[in-house]
Amino acid sequence: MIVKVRGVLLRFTNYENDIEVGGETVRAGLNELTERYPNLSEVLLDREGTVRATHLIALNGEQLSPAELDREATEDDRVDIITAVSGG
Amino acid sequence: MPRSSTYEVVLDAGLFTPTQLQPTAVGRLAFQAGTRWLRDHLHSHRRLVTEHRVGLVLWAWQLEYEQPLRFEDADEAEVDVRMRVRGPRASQLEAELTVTGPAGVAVRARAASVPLALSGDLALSGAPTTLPEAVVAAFREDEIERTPYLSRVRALRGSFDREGEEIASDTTTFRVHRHHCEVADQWYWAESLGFAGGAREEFVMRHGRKAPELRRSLSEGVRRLDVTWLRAGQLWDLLQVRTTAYRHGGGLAFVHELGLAEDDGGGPYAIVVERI
Repeated sequence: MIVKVRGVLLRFTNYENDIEVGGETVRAGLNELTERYPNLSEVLLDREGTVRATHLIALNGEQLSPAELDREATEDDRVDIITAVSGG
Repeated sequence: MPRSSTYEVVLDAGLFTPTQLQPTAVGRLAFQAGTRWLRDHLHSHRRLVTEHRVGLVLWAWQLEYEQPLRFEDADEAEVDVRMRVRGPRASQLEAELTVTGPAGVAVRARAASVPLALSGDLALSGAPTTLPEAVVAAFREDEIERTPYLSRVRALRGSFDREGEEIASDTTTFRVHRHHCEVADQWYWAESLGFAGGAREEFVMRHGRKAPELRRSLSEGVRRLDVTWLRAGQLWDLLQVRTTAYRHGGGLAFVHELGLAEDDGGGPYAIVVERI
């Protein structure tokens, strides 16, 4: 799957914005992503490894709840990480 | 008496169009003024973020041009800003700003922001909250208004649809680059006024032959802006601005819906209404 990273998260992926990851589910893809970019892990996940409520995950434009992250994803699927809002 | 911060700004040519202050320039003056008020009377914006973990996100903005102020009119202008807490649960922070030149108040602006409880990560991500009690306590009684600020954007769109005559609708795309952004790599809100203005100019270039009155938006300038933000544009987003122009009440109105060119399921970013 291709994970689309935008905005405030880009500096944690060294400004890679379309990142190809493996895994058979969205959760597995996100795990691979955060293993590859440990700094992103600290921002995206809480201490329990759950996606923080301040970030939303969408699969092909459909927002997923935390329980839906086990949805199957193929190499052609697109996963967006949306930072709901940041406060500067 | 609500506390104000009043100071002089030197007027440079980059702040102006041929006829008025640029809307984006007023936005920058307003943000600077609000930041100054916070520093003068409460806690600096920096301390709010770093010590109190309170961020501020703008969600509504009004700008009205009153008396003329052009580059050739003055060397300086006076900025006056006041802030107050709004909403029954202190859910908004409102700033009111005037910029005054030799002919009187040139622009009057009002900005309503929503406090965010920052999660503490380096991305400054957060979730909407109410202002902490310790922050509210630093405001005077006459700086607290229990009724919330209400954006006029929805009502304006309804009146254009009911009473106006649509001239045309079109889209323009822009990329959000870093010079459009603030510290958190999301668009600096005032730049979204620039994306809307840019979309209007593209619209005038495409449709001005068929509807020459559209050119008034450049020759006369914008008289009033109303904006609502629903989400923040992000660094490298490809934005699509859908612009619809109306004849309404003897004037012109442009409605700009700003969103992602490639839908991510999160809905539009902002609605900007310009009236000429």
